[in-house]
Amino acid sequence: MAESTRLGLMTYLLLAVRNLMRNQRRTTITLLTMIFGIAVLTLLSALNDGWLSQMKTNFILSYTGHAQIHAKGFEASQNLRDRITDPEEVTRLMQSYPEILGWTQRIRTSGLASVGGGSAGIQIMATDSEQETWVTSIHEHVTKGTWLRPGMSQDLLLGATVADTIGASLGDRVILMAQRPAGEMVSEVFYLRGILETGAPQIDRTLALIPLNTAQVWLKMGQSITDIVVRADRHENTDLVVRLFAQQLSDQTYEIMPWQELDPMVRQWLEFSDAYGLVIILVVVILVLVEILNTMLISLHERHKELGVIVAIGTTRFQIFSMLLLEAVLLIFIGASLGYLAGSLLVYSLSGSGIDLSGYANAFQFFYMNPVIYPDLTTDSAIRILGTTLVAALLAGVYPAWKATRLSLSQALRIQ
Amino acid sequence: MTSIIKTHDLHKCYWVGTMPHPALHGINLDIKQGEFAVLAGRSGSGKSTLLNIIGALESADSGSVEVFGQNILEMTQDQRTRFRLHNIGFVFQAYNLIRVFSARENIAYVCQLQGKSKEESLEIANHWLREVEIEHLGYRRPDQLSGGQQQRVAIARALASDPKIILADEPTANLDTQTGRNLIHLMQDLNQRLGTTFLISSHDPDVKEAASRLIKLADGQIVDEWSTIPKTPTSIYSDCPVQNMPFGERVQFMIKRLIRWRRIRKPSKKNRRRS
Repeated sequence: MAESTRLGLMTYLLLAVRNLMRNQRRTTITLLTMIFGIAVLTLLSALNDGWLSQMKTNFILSYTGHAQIHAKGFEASQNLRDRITDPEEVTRLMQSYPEILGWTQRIRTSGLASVGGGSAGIQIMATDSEQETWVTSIHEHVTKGTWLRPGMSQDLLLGATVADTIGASLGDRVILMAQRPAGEMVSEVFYLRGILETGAPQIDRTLALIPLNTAQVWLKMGQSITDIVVRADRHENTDLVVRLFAQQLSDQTYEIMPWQELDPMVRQWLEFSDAYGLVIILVVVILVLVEILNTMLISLHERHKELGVIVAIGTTRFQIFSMLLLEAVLLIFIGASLGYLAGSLLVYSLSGSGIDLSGYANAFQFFYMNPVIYPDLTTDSAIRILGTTLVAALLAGVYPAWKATRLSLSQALRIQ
Repeated sequence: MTSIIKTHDLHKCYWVGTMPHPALHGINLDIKQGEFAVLAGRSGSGKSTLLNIIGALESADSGSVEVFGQNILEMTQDQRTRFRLHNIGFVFQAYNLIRVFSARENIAYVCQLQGKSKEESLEIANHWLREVEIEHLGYRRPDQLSGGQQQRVAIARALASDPKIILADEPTANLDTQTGRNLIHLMQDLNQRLGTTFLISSHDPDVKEAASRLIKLADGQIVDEWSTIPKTPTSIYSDCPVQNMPFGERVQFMIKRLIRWRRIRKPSKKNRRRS
C-alpha cells in the first residue's frame, strides 16, 4: 500500500503545546512542582559536589599530594629499609610533564616525642621546607609559631594535639626518638618552633615535622628518602600523572599511589558521598516521574475520545505515540530547564557566602571538611541532573503514550 | 452504478462478561457509488456497529466487508488507518472536532496527514470552509462554534481528504430541527454536485426522507430496504399537498419549485449568502 500518513514536527509541537495549555492550572501546578524539585536537586547536588571537592582538596593539599612514589613495599611496611636510594631518577622525570605542578621529597617514619615527663608516639615527617610549600598547604595550618625556617636544622613543628599531650610549648626542647634503617634506636634534640592545626585529627594527633637534611644525617639515610609527593595541576589529572610515572618507572622498584589509595577511608567516604548524591537524584527523579505520569494519565483519560477521533480520521498509532511522548518530554524539558535555572541562581547566590555549618564543625573535621560549605555546580552534575531528568521524561511519557496506542476505537468513539 | 461497499454475511457479537449481545446477524449489503444511503432503525438495531465496521473502525466476527474491492477485515491496524485516511470521511454525532485546533486547522490536519504541506492544507481547508458556508469562522475553536457550525466543520474535514465515501453516524442527532435540515440539505447538495457517496445512520425522519436509499435494520438484520432515484434537495420540504391543488396552481407551483431547485443545485453567491 503506497498510501502513507505524515505529520511535520511543527504540527506535533503545536499539538503538544496546545494540549499542555488545554488545562493551564494543571500544567502550571505540574511545572511548579518540577521546578521546585529540580531546583532543590540542583542545590543539593551543588552542595554535595562543593563539600566533596573541599574535602578532596583539603585531603590532597594538607598532606598527601595527588600521588606519591615510594620504594616498593614501603606503604605496607613503613620500614626505612624500603627507601628510594636514588631520588634523582624520579625527580628528573618531573620536568617533562606539564601536568605536574610541583613535588617534594620526604622521609616518613614512626617515633617517640618526649619533653619533661610527657611522651607520645608520633609520625615523623621530614621535608624540605621550601619544596613542601609547592605541593601542600600544610604550612598554612601553623597556628602558633613559624613554619620550618631554611637553614635551621633543629626546628620542629608538632600537631596541636600531640603538643598538648606531651605538654610542649613553643621554644621547648623536644627529644625525638626513631629507628635507623639498620635497626638501632637513636634520639635527637629539636626545638619546638610551631604548632600545626590541620583540622584532621589523625594528623594533629601524631605529626612531628623536621627538616629533611637533618633527618637524612640523623637517621643515616644519605640521599635516600621514603616518599616523593607529587602535585598535579588539576585533581582530574591524578590518574594521568600516575599512568605517566607507571610507564617510566619499574614496578619492581617503585610503587606509585594515587591519593585515593593512600587513605582508603577517605576514598570510601567519597564513594559513599557519590552514592548518596545519586540517591538524592533518584528520589527527586522518582517524584518528578510520578508527577508527570499522573498528569499524563489524567490528560489521557480526559482525551480518550478525542484520541479515538484522531485515529479514526487517519492518524497512525505511531503518530499518537509520538504526540504523547513529545508532550511529556516538552513538559519535563520546560520544567527541568526552569528548575535548573532556579537552582543555578540559588547556587550562585550562595556561592559567595557559602553555608556556615560551624556549629557542627567537630563532626565534620574528621572528614577534612571546612565549616563553611561552598556549593559548586559542576558540568558533571548538570549532565547528571538533566540527563536523568530526560530519561525520567521518556519513562514517564512512554507508558501513557503506549497506553494511548492500545485504545479501542469503537469504545473511544462511543464515549459521550 | 459501480458497487463500492459490499458486505457478505456479516456477524458481530459484543460480550458483556459472559453474556452475548448480538449486534449484527448476517448482513448483506451493497452500496453503489453516488448513493445517499441511510441506515435506519431503533437504538441497538446495529446501525452504528455496521457503520463502524464498514469504516474500518471495528472488526467483525465473521463475514467480509469489501470497500473498493479491498477486504478491510484482513487489514492490519495501520493499514486500516491509512485506508480510512485516503478513502473514507467521517461525520460523528458529537462532531468530534479536535478541541485545541481552530476550525481551519481541524480541516487542514487531515490534509497534513496525507502529506500535503501546511500552506496547501490551509488552502484546501479554506476551500471547504467556503463550501460549507462558514469561511468567516475558520479561526474559531470548536468551543466558540454552535452545534450546526461544528457539524459543518466536521463535514468539511471529512471532505478535505477527498474521500469516495462519507460515513455519518447520527449527524443531526445533536442539532435542532432547522439546523438539522440545513445540514441534510448541505450533504445532499455535496452528494449530487461532487458524486460523493454518503452512508448515514440515523433515525431522524428528515434524513430518512432525504435518502435515495433507505435500509432498515432491526435486531442486527436488514428488515426492509427501498431505493429511489436521487431526490432533489427540495424534497425534504415537500410538505405541500400538490395533488389537492387545481391544475393551474399545480403547474405554477411546479415551475416555482423547479426554479428554486435549480438555484439550490447551483446557487449564486448572493443566494448562497441569503440561504
